[in-house]
Amino acid sequence: MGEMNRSAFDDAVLDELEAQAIWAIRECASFQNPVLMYSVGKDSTVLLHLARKAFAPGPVPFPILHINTGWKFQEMITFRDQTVAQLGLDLRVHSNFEAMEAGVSPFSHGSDEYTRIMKTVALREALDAGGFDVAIGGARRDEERSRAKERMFSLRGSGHSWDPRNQRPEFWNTVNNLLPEGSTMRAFPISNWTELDVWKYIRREDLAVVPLYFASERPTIEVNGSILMVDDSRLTDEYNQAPVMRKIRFRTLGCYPLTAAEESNTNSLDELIDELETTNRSERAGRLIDGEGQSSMEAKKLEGYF
Amino acid sequence: MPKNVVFAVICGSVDDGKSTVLGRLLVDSNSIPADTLEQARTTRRAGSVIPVGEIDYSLLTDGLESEREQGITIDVAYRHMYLPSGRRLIMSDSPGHEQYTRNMTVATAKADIGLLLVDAKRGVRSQTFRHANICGLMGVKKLIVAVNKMDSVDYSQEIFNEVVSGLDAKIKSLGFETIEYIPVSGLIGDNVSALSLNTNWFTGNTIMSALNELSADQPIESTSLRIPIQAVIRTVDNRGYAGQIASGTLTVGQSVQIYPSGTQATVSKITGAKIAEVYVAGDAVNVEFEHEIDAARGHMIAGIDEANQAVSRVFLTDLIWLSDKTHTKQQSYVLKCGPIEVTANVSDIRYVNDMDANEQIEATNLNMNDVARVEITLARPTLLDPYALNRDLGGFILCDRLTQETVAAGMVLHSIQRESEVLRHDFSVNREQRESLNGHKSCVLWLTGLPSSGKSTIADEVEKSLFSMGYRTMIIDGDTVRTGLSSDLGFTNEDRSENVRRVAHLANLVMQSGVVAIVALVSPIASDRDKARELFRDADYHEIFVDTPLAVCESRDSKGLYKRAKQNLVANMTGANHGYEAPENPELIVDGSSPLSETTQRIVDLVLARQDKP
Repeated sequence: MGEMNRSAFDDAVLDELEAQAIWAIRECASFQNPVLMYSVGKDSTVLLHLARKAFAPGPVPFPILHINTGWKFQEMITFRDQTVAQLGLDLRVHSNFEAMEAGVSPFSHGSDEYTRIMKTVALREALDAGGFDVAIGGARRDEERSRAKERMFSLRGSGHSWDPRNQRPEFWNTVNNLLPEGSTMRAFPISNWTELDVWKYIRREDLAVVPLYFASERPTIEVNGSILMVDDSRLTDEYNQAPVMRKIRFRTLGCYPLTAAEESNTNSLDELIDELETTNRSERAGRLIDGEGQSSMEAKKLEGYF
Repeated sequence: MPKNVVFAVICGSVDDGKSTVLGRLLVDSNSIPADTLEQARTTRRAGSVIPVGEIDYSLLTDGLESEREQGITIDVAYRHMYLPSGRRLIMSDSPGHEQYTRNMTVATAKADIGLLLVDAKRGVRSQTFRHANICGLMGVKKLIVAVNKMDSVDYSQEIFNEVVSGLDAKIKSLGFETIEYIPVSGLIGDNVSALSLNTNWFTGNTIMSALNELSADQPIESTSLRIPIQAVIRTVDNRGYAGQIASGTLTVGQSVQIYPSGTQATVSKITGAKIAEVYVAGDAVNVEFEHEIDAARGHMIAGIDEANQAVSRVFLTDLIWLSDKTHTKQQSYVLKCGPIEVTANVSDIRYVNDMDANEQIEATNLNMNDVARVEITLARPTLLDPYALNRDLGGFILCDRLTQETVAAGMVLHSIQRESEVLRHDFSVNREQRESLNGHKSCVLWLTGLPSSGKSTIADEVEKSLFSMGYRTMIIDGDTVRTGLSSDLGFTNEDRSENVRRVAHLANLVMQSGVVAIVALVSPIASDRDKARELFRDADYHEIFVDTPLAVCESRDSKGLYKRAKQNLVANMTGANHGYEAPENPELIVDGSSPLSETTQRIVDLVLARQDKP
């Protein structure tokens, strides 16, 4: 076996992944009413950049949608608003206000139920309210085992449910964009990218990302062995702990009470990419929501989770 | 197209050990995160004999809960692998069970390399051969055959050679450029990524080194320019045409031709994902032209005169039937190839390929998992390339019009030119030509009967049924006509006659345009209907008497007319106080209180029978 040489074709690989993603995003424009799911994280950042490239020199011809659970990091919201203003995008924000008013929180309902109500239900509501027939998302097949089974264009039945046993066959560069009554499509243009590809592309294209991905002194507490960042007093109130300053960063960004930080000194893209190449730990390990049950991502997707 | 992201498919009969071999390849190429690997040491599924603490490789590639419960693979999973060269391999892990053959074809569609597993002990099985066949059919050019579980036959060279010679005789004619045979044990790890001393008689590639070598082979492909237009991008001062270059090269100043219009144009600007002098196959581009052209999604940018041979209305193709809905003769479909969309009929089934018996069988229907060679006729000439030349422009799907489901995947072989299809430009377009474009003959279905007898409902069902078979149809409904074309008319005898006359001429126009006209009109007076009939040839006109008992019409009374007539609120209402003259010799009599599906079929049969008459 030859010498491992992961970076020899990096640029060429990125070119091919990029072209494939642009192809997929342009196919989405053949639907009646597309929407791009924007979660403000690194994958969304790449997806948004690709959408801009797909339609350059014209504008992105569809709105972008952010599901706000009310528990997102403040820095994410700031970054989102800056990005939208700078790029002149049509941003729609949706929250499950009913549940918010009823006081549904990660503490009160447990992470599974909370995620179902604030993310899955909110997403379904937002898609139905907007009449969107294709939702473009930044999910990748290397993220999680049920994602590896997903088509690039994935049909969702009524109620946005996923039927993994009966997926629509997918061939070549041909998308069956015909939708039965009540069905919608989810499209995942960066299906074939890995986490490393995403970061290398961000470096190559010089894209801004939320600063939380880089190490900095931040107020934290420790809960069940996980380091959580104190984004506001709701966390310290819940756990009744005084915050401790730690130098931390995040590998993925979600709702802050459910997203574990890691202690790190990584504060540049080069260091971050180096760290990923050497540590080789799976990406969603920091997401506290995936762990409940062996396949909870699959269970969530059956109900319409992203 | 430069290929540094290479697609491969791993296949073979169920229990031949795919998951274990794939798991090992992923681990050996360092493509599995450490914590996931740790899980595979601790988690066990029912019946596993692998001791806790060792890696159960098969666990690394399981996806769905139902799959883990049953211990089988249902649908395709896509796995990333870093090849030693630095290229990327995306391995589609395909299901082994026969009922999931359709998912196997999905796994194969993009694959350049096939990795076929055979159990050394059990030898070649029908599913092994079937998978090799599908690989060949779907255009996999390089095949690696891993004769697995060599540990269970004491690494016998003799048994390996037996399996190889038996299989080679059967698959060497399937169109592969190279076939490599490797003795392997997924369980022990022999020859997966390191040569094993257990098979010291073997000196070839390991699976890993074979994948590494074969992925470096760049495919030879067509140099003809092809850019299927995906989207039109409008800016303030220009229009661009966006698509991915499928073959050929593109540069500013180049002259191109747009299909189907045939318009020639010169490229003035290219916006690509990156800046380049020459854009090549695989690049996503947005092309602007010196002069405005008329093009849209589904049209093609091609080299001048480079596409004429590929434009065709009738072609021969291989077809894999994917749906549990059987294909029958009259059914027509939407064909999609990239952004191209066109109505298609399976005009002839040459044969169905029985892979197990290696026989070609005559067939009139196509059933799930059938692999057939068929002739397809399109509603209009369309640019498709042979699949062997370009998978993206020669591979297509057929979609059902009603369920919208993908029912078949096809691989174009070549076009069939027919003299009768050559458009004669020196003649003006006539009805026959329009009908030929539509792929069917037109006619008029004239439904007459009492109010609330069910004419509109029947017309609707008939149209749905015809439409799903690919017929172009138009309903001319009495109520609708009254709101527009005849809004100036009342309900006196004279006005009624005039209304029937207008509808008859409108139906004639619709029919002349090549469309099946379905008229739903009370038309109570026999002489009015007779005048209408005179406009048409016998074969074109079908008077259908919707003979529903008056009591049923009265009880339905969808518009409340009978009730109001009884209260004398509606003057001159047919049925109640105004004579309806029943047709004496209608082509068909149906009862609006009979089951709707039967009635519909009887009327649809008239249209189908019409197809065989001059």
